[in-house]
Amino acid sequence: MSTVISYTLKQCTRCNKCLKQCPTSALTVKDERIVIESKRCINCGACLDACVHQGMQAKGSTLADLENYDYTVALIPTAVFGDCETPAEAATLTAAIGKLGFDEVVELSSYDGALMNALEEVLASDTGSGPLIWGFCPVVHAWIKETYPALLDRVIPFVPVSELAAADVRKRLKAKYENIGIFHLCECVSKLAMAKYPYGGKRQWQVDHALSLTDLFPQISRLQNKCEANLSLCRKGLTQAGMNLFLSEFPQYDCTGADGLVKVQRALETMEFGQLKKSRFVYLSNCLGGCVGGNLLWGNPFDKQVKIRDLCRMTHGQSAQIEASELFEEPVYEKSPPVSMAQRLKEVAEINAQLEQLPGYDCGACGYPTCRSLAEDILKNKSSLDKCRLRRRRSA
Amino acid sequence: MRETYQVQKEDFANAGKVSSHIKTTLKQLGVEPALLRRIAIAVYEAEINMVIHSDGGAITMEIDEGSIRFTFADQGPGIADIEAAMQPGYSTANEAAREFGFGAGMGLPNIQRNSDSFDIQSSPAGTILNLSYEVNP
Repeated sequence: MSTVISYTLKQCTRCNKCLKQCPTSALTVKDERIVIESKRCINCGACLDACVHQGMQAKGSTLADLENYDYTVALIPTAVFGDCETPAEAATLTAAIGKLGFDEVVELSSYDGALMNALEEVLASDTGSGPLIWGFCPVVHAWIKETYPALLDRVIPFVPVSELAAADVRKRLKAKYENIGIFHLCECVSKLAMAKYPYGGKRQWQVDHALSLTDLFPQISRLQNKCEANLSLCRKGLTQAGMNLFLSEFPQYDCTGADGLVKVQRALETMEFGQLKKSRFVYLSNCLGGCVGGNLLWGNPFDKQVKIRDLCRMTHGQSAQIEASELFEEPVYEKSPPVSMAQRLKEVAEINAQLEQLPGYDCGACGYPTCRSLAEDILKNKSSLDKCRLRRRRSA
Repeated sequence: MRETYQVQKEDFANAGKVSSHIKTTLKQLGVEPALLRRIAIAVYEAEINMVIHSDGGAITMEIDEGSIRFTFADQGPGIADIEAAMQPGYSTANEAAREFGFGAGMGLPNIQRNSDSFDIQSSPAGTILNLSYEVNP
């Protein structure tokens, strides 16, 4: 996955906190600046939280992009309603977002509802080995692709909900407007990345721009008290935004869930050993508590799970009617060119020989997240053994 | 490449660590995902078997350009009835192992299903399990 995270400071204090938090070793410090290896980054946002100097930023498009279109539509993720106590509040929030300058606002709960209905059918008919994985979280999706490819065939290949909605909106409006701009308001860094850099699939990408909800929050907040509106949220769709709520929707299936990188990693490792034998379905989310904990949202994920549960009891909207064939996509994954085992063995032996020269503490003082990553770059002639501070101290 | 790892009797706290290390190594070697999954499942089950049932032993991994091979050699007490142990659901795991969630009695059949070649020899002096997989050279 390409990254939407960038480093913005002139000079890094070299605390190495971001290096330690990155689950895929995508960060290195070079010349006092953080370098992000785009190919490895899964856009989890752990480095944003880790940097005490706010040096890491996730950027999407801006409202200035609205001017490029004849008709603009905002897509609002269900998770944003975790901040609302009543359907009326959800309605004013939606209306306030519209007032940012959009011609139309489409909230996604009815589309989420369609996917939830489809999920039930998938669960009922699955006979594969090992639990199915709900692929809604782009971080989990990218992580599996990058590190756990053996599990890819268990990820349900649903079309992302924002794309589902965008395609539906386009179909409805295409006769009326020539130049339609669809803006996905994103609750997390990875959704921002997904809208900007699609992760596969053969479809034409339907969303034009991704906007960060954190960036828009002050404006939304000012407008919210001046709005009145009606809104009918889909209960079923709302449930997918909170992990506990989601799992309680499928009592007849053996479903389990994991939120946050540490737990998700544990679940994926366990699945790779074929050890999730009792669970038929796993809900995995990078953000705490599911999408309500999105790292571009305000508030805390704990109260939000409660709020969204309460909201579910007060809403009665219908799921969107979408053809089953439009809900799924055939995933496309780039395959790296095959390298012979003899060649691989030689490379790994070289790296291991280099590693024996290093202390193996993965301290990060050299700027690399692990001794192995330093060893790899030494072999590519991009770095040298004297980068290692511990070695320098020992030989002094 | 040849590596050997020790496994201690009833060391439930560390059960699975050798398998994790092996899995990481195979990923570094770029082993194709479907094959990796089969090896991961078989090696994990075999390691757990060693922890639960044996008096401890060693796991050896050997890799060359054409194959990946594993030897699980323990110091006893041996499997009394291998034919029975190959039946799904047959288990001699004790209470302690079951409390850790191990010992459902699917180990050996699962290992066999997830290997290209499977050979097991057992006597009171110890059990030797050999697994091998073909790889594209």
